[in-house]
Order: sequence, then structure tokens, then C-alpha cells
Amino acid sequence: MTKKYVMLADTTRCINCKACVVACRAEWETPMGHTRDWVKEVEWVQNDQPKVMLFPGRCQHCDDAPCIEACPSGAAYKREEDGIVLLDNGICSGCELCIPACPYEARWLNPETNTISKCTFCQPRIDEGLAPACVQTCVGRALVFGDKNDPNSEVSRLLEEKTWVKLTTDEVNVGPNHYYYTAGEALPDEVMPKQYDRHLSGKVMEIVNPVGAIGLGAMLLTFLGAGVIKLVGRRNEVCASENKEEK
Amino acid sequence: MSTHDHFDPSRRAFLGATAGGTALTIAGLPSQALARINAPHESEKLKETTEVFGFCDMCYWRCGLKIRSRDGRAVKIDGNSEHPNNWGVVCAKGNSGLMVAYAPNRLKYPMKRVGERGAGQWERITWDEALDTVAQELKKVKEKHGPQALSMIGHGTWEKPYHRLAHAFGTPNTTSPVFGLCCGPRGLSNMIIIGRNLTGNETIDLENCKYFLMMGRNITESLHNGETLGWVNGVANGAKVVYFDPRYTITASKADEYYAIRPLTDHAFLLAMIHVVINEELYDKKFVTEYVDGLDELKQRVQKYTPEWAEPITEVPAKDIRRLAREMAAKAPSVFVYAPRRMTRTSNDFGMGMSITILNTLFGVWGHKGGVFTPQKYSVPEIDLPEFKHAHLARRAEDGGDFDYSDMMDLPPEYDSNHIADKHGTIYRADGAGVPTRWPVANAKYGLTNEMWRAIAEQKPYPIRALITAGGNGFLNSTNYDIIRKALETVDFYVAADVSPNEMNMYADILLPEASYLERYDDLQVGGAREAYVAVRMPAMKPLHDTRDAWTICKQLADRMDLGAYFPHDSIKELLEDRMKKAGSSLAEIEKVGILKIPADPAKNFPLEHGGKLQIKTPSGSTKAELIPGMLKMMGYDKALDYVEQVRPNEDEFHMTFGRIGFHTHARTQDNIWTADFMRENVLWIHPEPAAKRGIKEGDLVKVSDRNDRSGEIKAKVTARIRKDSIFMVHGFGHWDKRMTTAYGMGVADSDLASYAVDPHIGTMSMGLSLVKVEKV
Amino acid sequence: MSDTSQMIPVREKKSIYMHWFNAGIRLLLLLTGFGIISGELVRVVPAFWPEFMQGLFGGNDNLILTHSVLAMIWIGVFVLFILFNFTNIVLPFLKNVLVLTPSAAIKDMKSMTLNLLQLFGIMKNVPIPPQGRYNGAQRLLGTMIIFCSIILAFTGLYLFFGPQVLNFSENPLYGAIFRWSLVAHISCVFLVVTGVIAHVYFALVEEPECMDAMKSGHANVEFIKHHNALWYDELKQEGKV
Repeated sequence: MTKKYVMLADTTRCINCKACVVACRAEWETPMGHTRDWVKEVEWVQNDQPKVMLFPGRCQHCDDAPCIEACPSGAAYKREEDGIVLLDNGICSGCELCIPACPYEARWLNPETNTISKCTFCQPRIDEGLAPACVQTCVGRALVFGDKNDPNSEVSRLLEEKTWVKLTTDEVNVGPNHYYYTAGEALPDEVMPKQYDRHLSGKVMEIVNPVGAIGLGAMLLTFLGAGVIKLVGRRNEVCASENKEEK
Repeated sequence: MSTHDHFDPSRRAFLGATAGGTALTIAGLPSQALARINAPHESEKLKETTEVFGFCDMCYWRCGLKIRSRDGRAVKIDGNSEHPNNWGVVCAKGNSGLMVAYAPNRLKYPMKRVGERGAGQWERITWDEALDTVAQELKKVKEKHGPQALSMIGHGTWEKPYHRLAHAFGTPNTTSPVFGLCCGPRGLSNMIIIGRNLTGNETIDLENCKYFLMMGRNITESLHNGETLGWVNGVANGAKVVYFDPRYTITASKADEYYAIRPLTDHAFLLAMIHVVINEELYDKKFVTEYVDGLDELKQRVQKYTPEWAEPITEVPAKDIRRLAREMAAKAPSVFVYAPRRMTRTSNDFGMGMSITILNTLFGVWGHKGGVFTPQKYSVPEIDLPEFKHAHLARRAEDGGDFDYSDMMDLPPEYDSNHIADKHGTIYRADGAGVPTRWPVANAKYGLTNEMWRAIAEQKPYPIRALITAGGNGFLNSTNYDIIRKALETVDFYVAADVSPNEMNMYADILLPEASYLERYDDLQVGGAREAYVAVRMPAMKPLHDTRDAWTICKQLADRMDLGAYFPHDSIKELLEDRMKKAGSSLAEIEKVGILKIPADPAKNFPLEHGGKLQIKTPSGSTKAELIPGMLKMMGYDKALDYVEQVRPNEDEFHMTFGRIGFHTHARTQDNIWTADFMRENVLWIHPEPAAKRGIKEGDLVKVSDRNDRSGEIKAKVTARIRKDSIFMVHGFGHWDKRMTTAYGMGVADSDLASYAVDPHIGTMSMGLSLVKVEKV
Repeated sequence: MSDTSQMIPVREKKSIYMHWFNAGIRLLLLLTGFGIISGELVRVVPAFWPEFMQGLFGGNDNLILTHSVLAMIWIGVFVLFILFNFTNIVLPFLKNVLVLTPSAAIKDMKSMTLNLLQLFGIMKNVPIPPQGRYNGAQRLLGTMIIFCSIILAFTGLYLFFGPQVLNFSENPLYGAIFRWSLVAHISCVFLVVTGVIAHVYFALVEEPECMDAMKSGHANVEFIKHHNALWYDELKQEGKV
């Protein structure tokens, strides 16, 4: 049975202390000015009363990740065994086409490596059986990480216990694997996914790829055919002249 | 040569070949999908690290840590999941500890001042020269003015050896800001009524509490990992939260009810609560009968404090006060009235603190599940040392840990009018803490740091000619810059020991660079929670610069001043081995696990849940809680129980409020590049209504000035999250030391706008009394 | 009248070198290019090839670098060749090869179709109109290759240098250009490779004489007269045969 890693954020337990952000920075040595995770503080007035909600966020490791589709170099990929969206540093060209494709603005260019950086659910840590750095350090224990396909995991239990929501809209739903608990509060617009960029060029290539492949194949086979015919013709000719000589 | 003339085509063959080829190509298309390359991706591998144990130095809660190192450098700070102060979690400040060690502007080698004092001109010197100079200058002061002419002001987990050095030197004038500038009124109130601190590492059964009445305790932003996590768990377990604060903080956003109480009037609200609880007999009768004295007298005293009296003062509706009292009583004893952490705000914090303790006592929280538990203590004896002359009370600061006020009542019986020493020749503290006719109730271990600065500046009651500081920042943690500056300029000799530069140590004659807490051993952390524990701090790497640890520095200074007997160990490691042996273990053993514990014992933690008795011993010797503390009455300080009218702003003025944010500690972390990244400068919170009246929009630069003509320019945050009569700014900004390359010139120093009045009963600061005007620049 | 079986020089040596240099480097570009992993956008060859090439070159970065360096050598040599031989070789070649008007294109299309069909014995008896130095198929192929090569060169340069020089997050146009460059680059590769298949077939199978001419620089006058009647007339006028 394959795994399905998910992140749960209980916004009622988050206190915007930024521990997750610094822990991530220390763990992955992200350069100043960029972070792989964040906490959004949303404040508004409702019936004359101020309101504040807190949303810890990071790459949502979507099932239908637009960043993968957008990546022209094949560096962005989804790991089949657990569903996390990763980035192959050795392949990434740093072209930044995936940045506008992400509805959650989770991707950025690391100026030190000139490759794209983003949350990996701490893949090297979880591969060793450790919790992601943000989860381990979370002061309010607002973040919980685990395998949704394992019925005995904490995330499975919590998903069962409470009503969780995902940051999706009617327009943008790319199957995020990050869940939020808001105790029934509606999600504010500030944290909702952005209309992302689906490139026309991708659609063009959907035609160019098969047409090109068929064209190439047909061309090769056509001339292969012509060669065969020629060969047959020459053999006939040789036979004919031999017959003539015999006569 | 041409051949194609004889070409004999076969139409069938051509068509067949073409058709077959096309078919093959189409059949081959699915294999195109293979070009989605999955195979060559190599997963990143976790780099190998080694691990040592420690405890944090970023704030005073001191969480247990595991520090990972690679290639001889600390690379990541994790929490020690065994440590009861944090159970493995670490906040942003704790995670940013690495940037204390790696800060490019650290104090890297000993320096001596070459320009004017405070001008910030330095010259590198050797450790020998630095230590020789310090020893020589201190000896000079001692010969000329006596040992009491030295003052030591510390603020850091490594201040202990400096206290010891000063006490060995013979002065009682050592102080830490914890009492006078921070938690004094809170700890003292609990101590004087029921003989407990309940401050420092709080012993509240947060997880099981069912009702939190929080008087401006912004627990999510003025956060301590274990305490905050316990509270979050308590709330998740269904506790009701009622939060009082002029500002809608993150804690307010988690509360079930929020009251934007008028600033400084919490005491009035609490007195009305007491009034309701007593008059409606909502208190825990069994507990009060068995463990409490003075109910009748208190009842008389609070009769005038009706909810209707409190309503116009506090702006909390009388009916809500009654309802809250009844709701709490229904949940008692699993309830808690939460005092603010720093309780140096009003002109009667002591009264406010006592009313909180009284309410908690009436609800019988002590020794009950969901209330306050009784901690256990790990016995780790101090090393054997010669007798300390003069140090008396101050001396004990080093063995109780922070916030231990238990010895406060060893008062000298009489006060000699020469203000220097009693008739036995014991020298009084210069700040007057624990001194009759001055601040007799104030804690004499930690002293009144604010009054110590004043004593130095004014050279009263006796000359103080030399100053040692170990960490801290006198400017930004006090409120009267003139006094601090004068004090620093007045002394003959000032030596500062610190890890990083700041405005105070800029005045030093000699700067001693300390190793950061990631580069050294330190004395043991002995603590008491449900479980008793002792924890160790180990170096995660070798010192990056020419720095030394506090124990080595003090030992080497002591040797130079013939005080070597007070520092009998050659290194802190030997001292640790000695202490661990006395505790029945060894350094090697504790280094393996980081923390040794005596497991939690419900019978000891919650005696009243297990048929046990609550042990009470108040400072006046009573075995019952004293709602009207006898000792205070005797000294005439029981007047603090009554409400004192607080200042009110004029039409065009605001209450000046300030406070913490989750990722900054005091004025210490604004120069840490990781924490600074979240907030480079503080802003002024102002309500949209007064903002509109002044034409102030979000992000506008405004001038804020107080009645003493102190002022600063700061950007505005226009928000409905603050009362119309108050403004707020995050504490710790407005640094002007150019060596602080990240924090320099960013934001405004709230401490330069806060009030420098003192509580008339106990001498602690009343920082919240300041009233300010705001105008658009 | 001259002897029609004589061999006459038709090409300068440097043109021949250029041809083989061009062929060789393009083959390398093709092999390395198909090895570059390009995500979901481009799926040309089965996975084994990129995997093999990645392994051979030690990663995508090296492969891209090799591809780009080869391409830049190719561009550089061509630019120099064109600069130094513009009037004597390049201009006449372009004049002979470029199909720039619709009527010329239709004419060439007709002769190419006849050529191809006759390969398979269709419309065998329809005479192919007399051709110049390059026949209709060659002219069309040549024109296409010239334009595609220019596009390949420019898009390739942008694909390689764009991400290094420009800050893509500054302006969405940069990314859009990158993406469309990739589309154009791949499309041109398809077109060129398709054409080259025919080119190679004719050289290897149908007209080995052309191959010889591309090796020695000499062509048989009889062959020219038969295949390139118009050129033969030209040569005769110039007195070269």
C-alpha cells in the first residue's frame, strides 16, 4: 500500500510565533529574504469586533500540481511512493516558470543555487523517520504530519475526529494535501489559492508532440519502404539480366 | 549508371509499408509517456550531525535543547522532548539562537575604551591585560570606598558567577531586573499571601484547567514554550478563556470572551470580582475553612468595591463581572486567574497582584487538579565555599534560581540612619530593597534594579564607584535614560561582560567578550515542575572567537583579587563534576541524556486530590494563607490592598502601552538577523477613529511624545485591535548603538516613552502610567 | 560540345567541410538534445534515452552545457563562414535555394510531389519540369532548414542564457518567451529531422552521385544534364562544360 503524506494545521492552536519558519530556515539553510513556510495573520472587523485568524502555510503537495505541468525541465515531480511534490536540483534550470503556476505561491528561486526551492515536507528527514522540522518545533502543536493511508496514524485519527478544510475554490482546486481546522470559521480570501497560469504553450505542445512523433515515424517508415521497394526492384532487374545472359 | 529507369515499383509493398509504419508509430505513442522522466531523480539525503544537550539562553524560561553540529559547527537547535519546560518544542527565538553565535558583530575579543566613555571607540587588548586592569581597578575602589562601592547588574543565565564574584568581593549590591522591572509584584503577592512564588516557571496545571481569567497575560505572544503549549492544550481540552487587555492580541483571538478593559484598571475589576465571590459565598468553603485566614476582614474591606462601582472605572459591565464570578465558581477549583508576566504597570501593581492571589485562593486552586500544583525539587547541593561577608540576602540569589522570593523576610530588625550598615556592621543594599524605611518588602536577593541605577547616578545613600554588568541592557529595559546615562558616566570604572554589543556596554571601560551559550558549559539548571529535574548545558562547538565563558572569567578575576577560594575549580567542567557528585550522579551520566528527573508524583503535586494536606508557610510564619497579610498590616503596607485611582489621558492623549511579540525577547533579539527578519521595526498601533481625527493613515510616519518631552517617530498601524484611548508598540526597538548593524535606527524605543514612576509600596516600576500625544509628521 | 561524361568541379572544399561539420554537429545536438529532460512539455523520445545520456554526462546540467556549447560552436563557425564567404558562396547558394514567393513554392511543391511519387512508381510517365542547380524538393527543404536553424539558434540562446541573465520573477514576459521558445525549438527540430530523413535517403539510396559530389566536389556532367537541366544550360553558357 502506498503512502499518502498530508499536513494538518489546526489554526486554533497556531499562535503565529514563527517557530516553524525559523526551524525550516535553520534546517535547510534558506537564504534571507525567502522562506519555505510562513504564517499568515489575517485580521478584520466583524460586527464591530476585531477578528484574527492564523494560517501556517507551505507547499500543499497537490495531487494535480500545476507546477509539475509548468516545469519545462522535468525537475518538478511527484514522488510516487508517498505523493510529495519534490524538485530535482540537478535538473532545475531556474527558469522560474513554476513560480506563477503555483496557486499558493510556495515556490521561489534560491539565488545561491539558482534553482527553485520550496517545502519538501522535509523529505530527507521523513525518509529517516523524523518529523518535519516545522512540526517538531511547533509551539502550539498546531502542525501534525503523517500518512493518511495509515488508519492508525495521528493524522487519520484527527481527520476523522474533526472537520478539516482545504484551501480550494470553485475555480482553483488542484487537490492540495494540506488540511486546515478552523473550528467552523469561514476561510478568509487572503489565504485562498490564486488563479494560476495555465500556459497555452502547454496545450500547443500537446499537439506538437504527437504530430511530430507521428511525422518522424511516418517519414522514417516511408523511406524505409521506398528503400525496400528499390531493393526488390534491383533484385528483379539482376535476375532478369541473369536470365537473359543464360538464354 | 542511372537505375531508376528500370525501377519496377510494387504498389502493394509501398502502401503496406506506409500503413504498417504509421500503425507502429501510433502503437508506440503510449511509450512516449515514458519520457516523463521519473527514474533519474535522486532523493536528497539528510546530512549527518552530532548532538549535545543544552538549555536555552534566548529568554528566561530556559527550555531543554538538543543541539546538532556538523563539521565542528552548531547547525540546528532542537528541543529536548524530555524537558518539562518545553517537551521538545522550540520557539522562533530558540531556533534563532544560532544567529547569536554566528552574528558577525559579536564581541570577539577583549577591548579597552580609547575614546570618551560611550563614544564607542575601542582597542583590542589581550585577556591578561583586560583581567589585570579589571582586578586592579576594582581593588582600587575597594581600598578607597569599601567593597560596597561595587555594584553588579546581571541579566542572563550566565550571570551567576558574577554575583558570586561580587559577593566574595564583599558587596551586597548585586541585582537582576527580574524583581524591579518585571515579575516582582506578581511573585511577591503570591509569596506574602500563601508563601509560594508562582512565577518563574509557573506551576499551573494548565492542561486540566477549565477556566482561565487572563488579566493581560498575553500568553501566545509573551510566550514560554511549555507554558504556552500547556495553555493551548488546556484550551483544546475545553477550558473557557476570558481575556482582558486594551489590545486585541492573538491571545484575545483565542478567547471565548474578550474585554477591552480600560488600561491600568484591572485592580478595580478584580476587587469587584472578590466582592461578588465573597458576598455571594461563591468561594471554596472547605478550602477557605481549612487553609485561609482573614476572610471576614477582607469582606469588610471590599464592600465598597461593588461591580457597579467598577463598571465606570473599568468599562466592564457590572452584570458581566457577576456572571464571570459565578461561572468561575462553578468550575472551581479547576480555574485560574492569570497575572500578566511583567507586572510593573500601574501605581499599585502590588495591590493588583494580591487581588489575583486572593481570588485564586478563594477558588481553592492550590494543590488541586486544574489549579496550581506543588512542584518537586531535585537536590543538587552547591559546592562548598567560604563565608560571604555583607552579601547576606543577595548572596542567596544564586542558589534559588530565578524568581525565588522565599527568603524575603530575613529583614534586619532596625534601620540605622547612616543608611549604610546596621548596628552589626552588615551593609545595607544601596537600592534599599529589604531595607527598613526604604523598600522593606522589596526582594533583597534580586534587588530593585531601577533603584540601583538611581543610587549609582545620585551616589546615594553611599558612593558606588565601580560597576560590573553581565548581560542586559540598562537603557532599553529601564525607562529613564537620563539616570542610566548618568550612572554609567559617574562611576570610576565600568566593566561589561557580554556576547553582543548594545547601548549599555558601549559605555564600558573594559569589554569582556563572553562565549555564547552554544560554545560553553554552564552551571546546572535545577528546576521543579510536576517532576523534579536537573539539566546540563554542553558546548555544541568550540568558541568561534577569542572569548571565554563567565566561570573562567570570574575565576581568573578572583585569582587576581585574592578571592580564589570562592572559585576553587579550575574550570566550569570541574565544578559541574563536583556538583553532580554531590547530587549522587556524575557529569558523564547527565551528559548522556541532558536531563535527570524525579518522575511526577500526583500525591505530591496535587495533595488535595489524594487526601493529603497543603503545606503553607507564609513569610510571617502562618501555616494558613493570609488574605490580609499580617506582616504588611504591621508595616502599614496593607493599604496596597485598596484601589488607587489611576491616571487618565486628556482628550488629546493616549495611554502608552507596549508589549511582546512571539519572536522577540525583550530588547535582545532585534539585532538577531533571523528574528529581525519578521519585524525590522516596530509600528504604532492606533484605532481608526483617533487616527482619522489626526489624518493618520496606515504606514504614515507619526510623532509620539509624552508629557516629559520625550518623543520618537514611528510608522502607524491603523487597526481596530486597540482601544481608542490607547496606543501600542512592540517592545525592544529603537536601538542607537551603531554596532547593532541590523537593529540600529529601526523603530522607536518604548522604554524611552514609558513611565519611570515607581510603585509606592514596593519600589517596582510603574511603566504604564505614561500618557502620550500622537501627531502626523 | 564538350564531353558529357567528364567530371567538373561544382563545389569549393570549404563548402564541403562546412556541410560535414554541419551534419556532424547537428547529429550531436540531436543526441544530446533528446537527452535533456524537459518535463511534461516535451515528450519526444522514450525514457531510456535521457536516462542513458544523463548517466553518461553525469546529470542534466552537464548535458545542457554540452548541448549549448556544441550549439554555440555551430553558431560561431557558421557566422564566421558567412562573414568571410558571403558574396562568393553564401549569396549564390541562397539565390539558388531560397523559395520566397508563393508561385515558386507551388512550382517546387509540384516537382517535389512528382519526385516523391515516382519513387513508388506513381505518375511515372509525367515528365518532371527541368530543374536548376537544386531541384524543387531540395529548395523547399533548404529553405525550411535555413529558417528553422535561425529559429533554433535564437531560441536556443534564450533558453540557455535567459534564466541566467534575466530575473524571471520580475516580468512574466520572460517566462512566456522561454516557454514559447521551447515550443518553437522543439517544433523546428521535428521539421528539420523530418526533412533530413528524406535528404539522407536520397543521398544514400537514390542518388549516390550526389554523395560523391559532396565528398570530392566534382560532379558528372551527364548527371547534371539529366537531373538539373537548367543548371546545365547555365554552366554551358558560362562555358564551364
